[in-house]
Amino acid sequence: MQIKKPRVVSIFAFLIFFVISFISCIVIDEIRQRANLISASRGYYGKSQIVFAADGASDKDVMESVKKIHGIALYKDDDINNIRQIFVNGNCNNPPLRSGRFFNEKDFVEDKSSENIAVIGKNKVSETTETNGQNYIMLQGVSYTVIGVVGTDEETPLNNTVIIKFNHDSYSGTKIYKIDVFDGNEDLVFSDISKEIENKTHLVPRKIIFEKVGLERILPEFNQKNLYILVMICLLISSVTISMEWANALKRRIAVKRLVGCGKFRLISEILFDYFKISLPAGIFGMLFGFIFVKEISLLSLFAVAISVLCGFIVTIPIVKKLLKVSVSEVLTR
Amino acid sequence: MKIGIVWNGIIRMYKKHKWLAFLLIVQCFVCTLLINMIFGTILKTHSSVSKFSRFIGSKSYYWVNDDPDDNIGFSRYMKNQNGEYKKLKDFYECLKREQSWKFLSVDRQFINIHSAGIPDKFLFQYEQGCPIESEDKSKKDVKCLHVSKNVFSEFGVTVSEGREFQNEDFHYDNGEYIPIILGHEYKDIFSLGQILDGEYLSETFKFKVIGFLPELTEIPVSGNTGTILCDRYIVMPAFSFNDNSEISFFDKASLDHYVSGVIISDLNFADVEERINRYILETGARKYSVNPEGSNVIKSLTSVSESELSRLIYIFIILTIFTIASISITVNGFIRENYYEYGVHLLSGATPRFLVKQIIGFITLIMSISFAISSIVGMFLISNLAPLVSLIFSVVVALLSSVFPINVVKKVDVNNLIRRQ
Repeated sequence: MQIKKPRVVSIFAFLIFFVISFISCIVIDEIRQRANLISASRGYYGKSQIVFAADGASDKDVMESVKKIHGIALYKDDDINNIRQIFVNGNCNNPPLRSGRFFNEKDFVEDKSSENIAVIGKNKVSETTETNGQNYIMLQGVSYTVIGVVGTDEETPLNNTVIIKFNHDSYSGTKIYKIDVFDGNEDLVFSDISKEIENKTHLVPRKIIFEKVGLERILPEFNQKNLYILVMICLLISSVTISMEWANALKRRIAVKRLVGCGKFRLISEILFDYFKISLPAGIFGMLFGFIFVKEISLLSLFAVAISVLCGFIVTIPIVKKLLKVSVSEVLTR
Repeated sequence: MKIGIVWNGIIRMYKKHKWLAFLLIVQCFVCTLLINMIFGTILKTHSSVSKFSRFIGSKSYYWVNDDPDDNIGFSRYMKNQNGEYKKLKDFYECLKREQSWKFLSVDRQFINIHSAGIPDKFLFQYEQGCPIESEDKSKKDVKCLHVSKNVFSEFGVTVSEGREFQNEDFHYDNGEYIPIILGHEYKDIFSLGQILDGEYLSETFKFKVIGFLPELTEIPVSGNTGTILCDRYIVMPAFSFNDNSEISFFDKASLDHYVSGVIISDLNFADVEERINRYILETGARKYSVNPEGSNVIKSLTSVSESELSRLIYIFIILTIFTIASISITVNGFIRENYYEYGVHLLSGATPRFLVKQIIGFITLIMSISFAISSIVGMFLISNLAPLVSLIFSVVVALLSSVFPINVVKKVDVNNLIRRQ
């Protein structure tokens, strides 16, 4: 069987899609990691955080008031002992999970409220004990079942934290409450919570304007969304230019095929299939190669690779159509 | 005339591939903008990360504190029974004199300032949810740090306005002003040179604003996890009275605070603790404990921010290589498209040098247009440095992306070109 010698432009097309996929993975992973680290160092994972004190109100009052607000996580931190109490309502972003699972709103339904479960930072794993394949951690004389381990590769305070369910009966800490906001406007959420607490206790919670925490103090603000959009535009244009270049190199072949009576539809589908045979494996190889270097395979990386390959592919359709309009004699006499 | 021919060739090439050329310009523009954005962030990150690592992150800290539960010892000290004040002063001198470490007196306190217009965020214990609120609303207990002479130089603290503390600021004569430097967030409330009335450790003083700290100034403070952000703090010198013939309440209270501080040393914890205990025994001072900075917040911030910096540089390099490769490949495609034309040129007496000039000219045109647009956009959206960064990037990309196409053009052979081989 004779092996067809690949054309130079096809090799370039392969290489460029390989590189595009590879870079998409790397850049998106870098951006994701940065966001994770900043979240891990500052201690919240939503778009914003509200810090407030509710002087005179009990933890129970606060928790029951917060229960009515969706898309939030309520925290109460003990910075000295690295213990965080949490109450989750609705869909929330998790800290970087290493094993097991994080809390979800099902953990806070009435019949499960008495369960002592904990998610621990990776450095706390050594403090756990194992019984019948289940890990437990002791906190102030109470045993908690470990349901998950969180942490970052770099040393962040998250690695040393134990997160337990918000439990007003068993554990007290500071009188500062933090609300991680995932849905809705931060001010509106606080206004709703204030009303709920006020209705329940006749006390008005005091919002605390919190200073910058964690990495945000050192790293300058950096618009990752803009960076991501620009990177994607850059990669897409590259895939478009190489697609055009690839299609342009096919003029003679198209002319010959047209000369021998090949139909337009068949011609277009053949060319697009050829292109697909190059771009798809290149994209997959690039992505797989990229995944060797990235720390976590994210859906966003897969999406970015798919979009760039798809756009490079789609753009060839009008180019090939345009090529069909070129006179056969003109192409062949050149 | 020759330039005219080259220019005509470039324009012909541009017109022939106007869509591809347009896309290349857009790509280079986006890349240049991106590089500007990342470069600006790298510069800022490098400056803040290297400053943090150099002055704060690279050191080992030990906190020196008295025992908060030792009420009897404290009461005895405040009554100055058995010369307790002198013993503690001797201990304080030992801490400062020790050659194997640096002792910095830095601790949190509050000053009662007579000014009603100070917002709550400046109140002592505000972030802990329990601010101290005076009954007299015209007086506020605000957050304050006292610092010894060496604190500013040790942690690379500077002022954004006014002046730093000088030697004479650490000695106080009755009736003088106590110089204070305010955190960045005080800028809208007080002005340079303003005199404030207030009380510090139950003594009435007049405080004079001599400077403001830059935004995000951090100082490691005894007993704290990590560092303290000074934006909402008043920083004052750990001063002593020049005339201290009589030991006052202020002398005793202030010395008690000054001994709480930070030790910076390469010694291990056991050695530091052993020396502290030895000094306590030698001087007979009341019990003070020493603890390593155990939160690891400083170490983690240093390592994470350093790795962040390398990440940005990594993205920067990848994008630059990618842009160069992309231009090279596309221009190489143009060359293949123009094989026949190049053959005719060479037959008509043109040299490969002419073709090289045409290629360089085309790439330069693309880069010049993208440079012009990205400089203007970058100047408005990113920084004033954008034109310079864009220029350097454009020149480097133009040079490097020309290498591969030039090599291809140099190797062209007239016979092959005409026969389209």
